[in-house]
Amino acid sequence: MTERTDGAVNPSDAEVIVRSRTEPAVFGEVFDRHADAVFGFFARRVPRSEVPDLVAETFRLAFDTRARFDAERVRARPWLYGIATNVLRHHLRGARRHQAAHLRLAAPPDDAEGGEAAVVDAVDAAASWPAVAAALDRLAEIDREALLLLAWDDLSYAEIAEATDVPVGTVRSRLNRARRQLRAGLARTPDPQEPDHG
Amino acid sequence: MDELAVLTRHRPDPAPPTAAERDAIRARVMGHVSGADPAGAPVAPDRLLVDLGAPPRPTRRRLARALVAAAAAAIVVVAVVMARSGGEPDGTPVTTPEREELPAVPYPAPPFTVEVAVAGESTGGSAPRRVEGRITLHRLDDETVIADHTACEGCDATSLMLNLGDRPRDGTVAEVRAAVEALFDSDHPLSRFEVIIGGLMDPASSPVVRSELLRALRSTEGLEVTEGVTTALGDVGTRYALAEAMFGEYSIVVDPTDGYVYEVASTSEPQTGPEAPDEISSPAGWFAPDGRLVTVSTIGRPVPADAVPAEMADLATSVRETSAARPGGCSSGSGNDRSGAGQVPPVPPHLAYAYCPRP
Repeated sequence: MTERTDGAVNPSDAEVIVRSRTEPAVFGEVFDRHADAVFGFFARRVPRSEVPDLVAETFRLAFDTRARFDAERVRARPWLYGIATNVLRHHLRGARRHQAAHLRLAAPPDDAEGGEAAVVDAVDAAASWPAVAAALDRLAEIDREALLLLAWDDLSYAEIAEATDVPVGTVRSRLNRARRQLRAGLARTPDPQEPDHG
Repeated sequence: MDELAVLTRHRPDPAPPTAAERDAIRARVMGHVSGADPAGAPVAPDRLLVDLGAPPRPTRRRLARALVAAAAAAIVVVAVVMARSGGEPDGTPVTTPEREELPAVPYPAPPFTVEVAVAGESTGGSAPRRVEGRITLHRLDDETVIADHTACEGCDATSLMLNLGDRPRDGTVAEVRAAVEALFDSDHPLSRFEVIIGGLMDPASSPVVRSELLRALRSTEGLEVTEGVTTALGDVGTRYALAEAMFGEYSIVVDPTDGYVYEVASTSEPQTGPEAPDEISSPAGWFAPDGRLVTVSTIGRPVPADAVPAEMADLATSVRETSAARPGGCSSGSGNDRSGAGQVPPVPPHLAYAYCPRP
């Protein structure tokens, strides 16, 4: 496996996936490259005890649907995140649960390293998390998914479009709507970092 | 600190999987890959596989659709008899909600053709702009829609039939009702609206699904209902409009007898500031965000088509064979990227057709 000038690796994800269509065992390379990222995707959203099943489900589905992977895409991560998003959605609905409860569980740890400033920042973050989680919970599912893929999973607009199977313009609309609604939700709760002017 | 920065600051940073966790997951995946995993076959329910674009099963699906249509037609006849007699055929009052309204599927089996009139008017940008045009959508099969954009270059109405999302498409009344309610994960009425519109415009939605979506539509808070509205294409239906301070106004015109959506319209208020998008996408094309934008898509009834134009059939075949990327104008993936990247070479340049398979 070698690094290419465009940041991708040789052979590319697409090349590996195409090859796995005739040599299934090669699919293990896809897992090795992306398992940690997919694990992180779920671990940021659900309790850790549920993550292994969901990761396994995602890769099993990816394997079963690899014939549909667009070989023009060099990277598989948006495709895998798209499958993971569907798996997560199904998982949460199957259990009749709201994601907010899990988002609260997934809140940042209140311990921090790196000095007093970092500790203060972590405490502030922990204090304001319930408001953020509540605001996220009020978003439509499709809007929340797009927003978290952007903010937490570092996907570009085009990659979010690929992952969620909508046009880039729709991603823009969803993110715009989500941000406006999130901003309105946060405005109802004072930010602990802001000075109290009252 | 803006809301995105707040959210990023709260990004959880979970520990990566341990070597043991990783190995265990890998073993399960590779067990499935090698066929050694006994639980590997039913990796997901059919609904999830549909979301992921499972290969079509044309024979079974068409047979099922024909049966559903036949059953629906029979049920509609029963419903008419009940309505005239004021209750069940034996005269007893109607009490079961699933028999109050169970519309037939208004879409024929593919291939079929749908005419769409689009209009967009914006006060944004350097000058007010109005776009009007017609698009012909040819649905070749369960996976393929080809849009003839020659009468409205830059328009993109394929989303009217392709953006399937995660919705129930069939099931018992109880199952569908639960699934529809589960989709409404937000209290925001517009999110309900979005789910409902998508479901009603999905040709694969069964009569039960359509019935439940109509029921959900009518129970949406804050709706303004106007009966007997005539669309730009001459169809008559009921308009359901919803105004929301933050996001603007949305409305749809629906045939009350079967839930067919004749018109989708929206009015969005100007968006400015650093969070505003560069452009706003609509079926009538792209518009500047800094103005009031009104868009209306008027959808005609589908017409069965025994054969599609040869040029389009050839195009679909050639694209399938090359497995090339979707061309610009499609409503799937990043196919709407107007940069030109991913354009399909075989598309005849003199045809502004877009080939849009479900990925």
